[in-house]
Amino acid sequence: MNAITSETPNRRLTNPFATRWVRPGAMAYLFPQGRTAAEIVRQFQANDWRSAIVGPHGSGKSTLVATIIPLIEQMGIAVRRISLHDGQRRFPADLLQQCLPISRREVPSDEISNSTPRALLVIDGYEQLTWWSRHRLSACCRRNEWALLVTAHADSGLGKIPVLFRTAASLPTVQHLVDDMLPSHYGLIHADEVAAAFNDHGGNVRETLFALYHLFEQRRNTYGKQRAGESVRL
Amino acid sequence: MIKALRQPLISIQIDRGQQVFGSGEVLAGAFQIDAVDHADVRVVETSVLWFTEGTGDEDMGVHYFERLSVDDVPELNLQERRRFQTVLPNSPLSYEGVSVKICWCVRVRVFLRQGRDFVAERAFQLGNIPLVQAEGMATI
Amino acid sequence: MFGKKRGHRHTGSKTLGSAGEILFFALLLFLGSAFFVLLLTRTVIPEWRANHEFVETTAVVLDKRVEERIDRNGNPVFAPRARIRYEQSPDEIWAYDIAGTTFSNVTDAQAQLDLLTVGETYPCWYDPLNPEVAVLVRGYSLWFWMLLLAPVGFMLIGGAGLAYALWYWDKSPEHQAARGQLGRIDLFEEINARAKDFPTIPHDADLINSPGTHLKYRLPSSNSQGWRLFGATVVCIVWNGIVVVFTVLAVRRHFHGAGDWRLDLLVFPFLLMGGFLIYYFVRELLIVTGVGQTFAEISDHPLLPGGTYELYLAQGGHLSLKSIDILLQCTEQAAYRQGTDTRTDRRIVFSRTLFHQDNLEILPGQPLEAHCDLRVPDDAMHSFTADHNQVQWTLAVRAVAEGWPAFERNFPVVVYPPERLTSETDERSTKLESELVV
Repeated sequence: MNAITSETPNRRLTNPFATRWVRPGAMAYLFPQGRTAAEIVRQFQANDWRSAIVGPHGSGKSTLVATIIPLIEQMGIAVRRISLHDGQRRFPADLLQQCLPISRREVPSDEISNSTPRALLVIDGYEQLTWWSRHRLSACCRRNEWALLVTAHADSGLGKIPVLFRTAASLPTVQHLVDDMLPSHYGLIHADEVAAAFNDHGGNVRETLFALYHLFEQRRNTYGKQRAGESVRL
Repeated sequence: MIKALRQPLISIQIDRGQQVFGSGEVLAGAFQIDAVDHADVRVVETSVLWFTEGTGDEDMGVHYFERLSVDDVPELNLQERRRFQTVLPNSPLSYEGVSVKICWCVRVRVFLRQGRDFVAERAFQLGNIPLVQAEGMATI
Repeated sequence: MFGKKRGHRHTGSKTLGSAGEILFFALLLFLGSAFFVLLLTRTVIPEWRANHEFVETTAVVLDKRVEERIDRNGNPVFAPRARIRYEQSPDEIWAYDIAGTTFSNVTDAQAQLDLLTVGETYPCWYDPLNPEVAVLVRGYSLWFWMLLLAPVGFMLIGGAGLAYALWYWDKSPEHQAARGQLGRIDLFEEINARAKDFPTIPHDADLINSPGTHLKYRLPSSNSQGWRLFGATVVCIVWNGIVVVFTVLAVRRHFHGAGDWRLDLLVFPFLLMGGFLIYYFVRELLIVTGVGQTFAEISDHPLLPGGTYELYLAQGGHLSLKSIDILLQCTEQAAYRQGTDTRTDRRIVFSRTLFHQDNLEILPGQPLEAHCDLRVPDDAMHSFTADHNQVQWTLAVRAVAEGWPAFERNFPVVVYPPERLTSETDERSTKLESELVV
């Protein structure tokens, strides 16, 4: 992730739970003990560059994908990502045209192995595709020597694509996330409130973070006044 | 193995340290890039833009944009302070809503030859719309 | 009698609006009547005549057989037929009943013929207008009475609506669009210039292209009752039309002792849905006709922070209102999309009541008319629109009525920022950019 430094005007108290800070790519995936992004990529390679990441809604699939993509790009594999939105049953008709222009990044040739695919296609929401679309996608990837990484909510429909990783949200992970990666909540959010939000939203991390966003909003005005010595106007 | 890259130091200053502006006012300032070899830099982009923050996907609008290619200007000395200025527009004004916030900033992005880029921002406020209070505000 | 309509707007002549209403109900009445007449002439009248006007005589049964036919669905059906001779007809004819009753199996058809013995004499009835037409069996096919329900329903709805619209036609006040003002310059040029001066602020061209009758502009509503009613009508007609056919088939089979429980099970949920659609249609119809139109007019637009504007509201219909409120509201809307999940967050961040009244009657032709001031807060955020995020200002009319569901009508407005760049500062901007150090 590129470094961004920012100075804000006096009155702004940035909400650390805004989508800008918590969307996939803005925040790294918190791996369970003993697992690392590099190890996931090695496993992906061992699966012949075809794998699936499976997990329920809001469990971090897209965040995990965003975490491992830079490592894959460093191997000289260009990445094209396609998100299938709710109800979308076919991948874009011009998929081939979209993907063909992508070329290897500037990596010294001695660092690229012969078995490294030319590109990686990431499909978010794979289970929405029809059987025929999936078949065509597989054939397209094989023909063009593309790696394929998909995300899905369940195993059914994956066919022969092996499961690379199963994402699952847990309360300790979310607590860790809030305290270690989003420390700029200035102590406005307490651990029991994180737990309550997590339970209220059935373990959906995304919805939990949205709930914490609004909780922070409710409290930041008072904190801002206190911090600025009543200089913030309402 | 990828060579470790040095992160450039980008500093942005707005004239007189002004942080709040009105529509039609001139935003002027300068930026400086340090801790990077001139040969490693490919392009420097300066922009004055607004973006949204909140619970929705981000939107962005660029009001001022300047792109400097080192290849086009070989004598460019990045360590010298380079100035920028623009007249700020009528809208959108900075806004601290509940689910939607609008933020203005000066952004400098440095593209290195190895394909990476680094960004620095300096935020400022356009207009004087007060903060919106979220319902159910709790007192600490 | 000039009127114009755009989208969800109710503008221009009420006469034209009433004419449309009349046309709608007239169409319903016509369709129902046409279907009704068709049924009458093909089925009802012949059966009635056979039971009341045919003249009794006696006939000798010379032969009898079961005729196999194929019905509309391609299924074999069996009709009992007897060859008879009677005095009033010069030729022998094959006859049974006037409706041409058929059975789904041979056994049932044969059972009817077993009641007749070849060579015996039986009473028969002939048509005095056409003596070569005669029947051995009289009575009524009950299934057609059920079939009549559909056209009768249309006729009732159409007729009632037509009567209502005609009754209040000459009691509705006439409003003419008296003022209209096109821009002094080309309209498209004006829109582009404004968009350039105020980026991200929604265009208000659609809001100000309709003059009001009391104030400068008539605002369009963002709700569309008319389209909802139209949709409900179409769906109700199509759905129930299909359901009636299958229901009649199922019932008919039962009457003939050949009920098919699988057909019954299949039809039942569709019947329930049809009932719900009728309820929904009637509800929408009553809301549109009972609740009436809501008009909102404003003295100027766009709105500026700190500005005060006159507001005029007219609420028509035939209602006893427990309360009615006009509110100025600001709503933030943020849409977030990640993978297959789409989430839209809508929050009202500002709400101010401009007008409130309790316990009032609205009578047909005598709409409630309200005048009030609209003051935009000094520090109001301007309207904002981008791909995923919006700040929207609306005038909301909320009413709670006796015996009606509470309803709300929304009228979008656009608030501009308080300060504006002038043409002088535009020139300064151009001059500055040309002086930038490169």
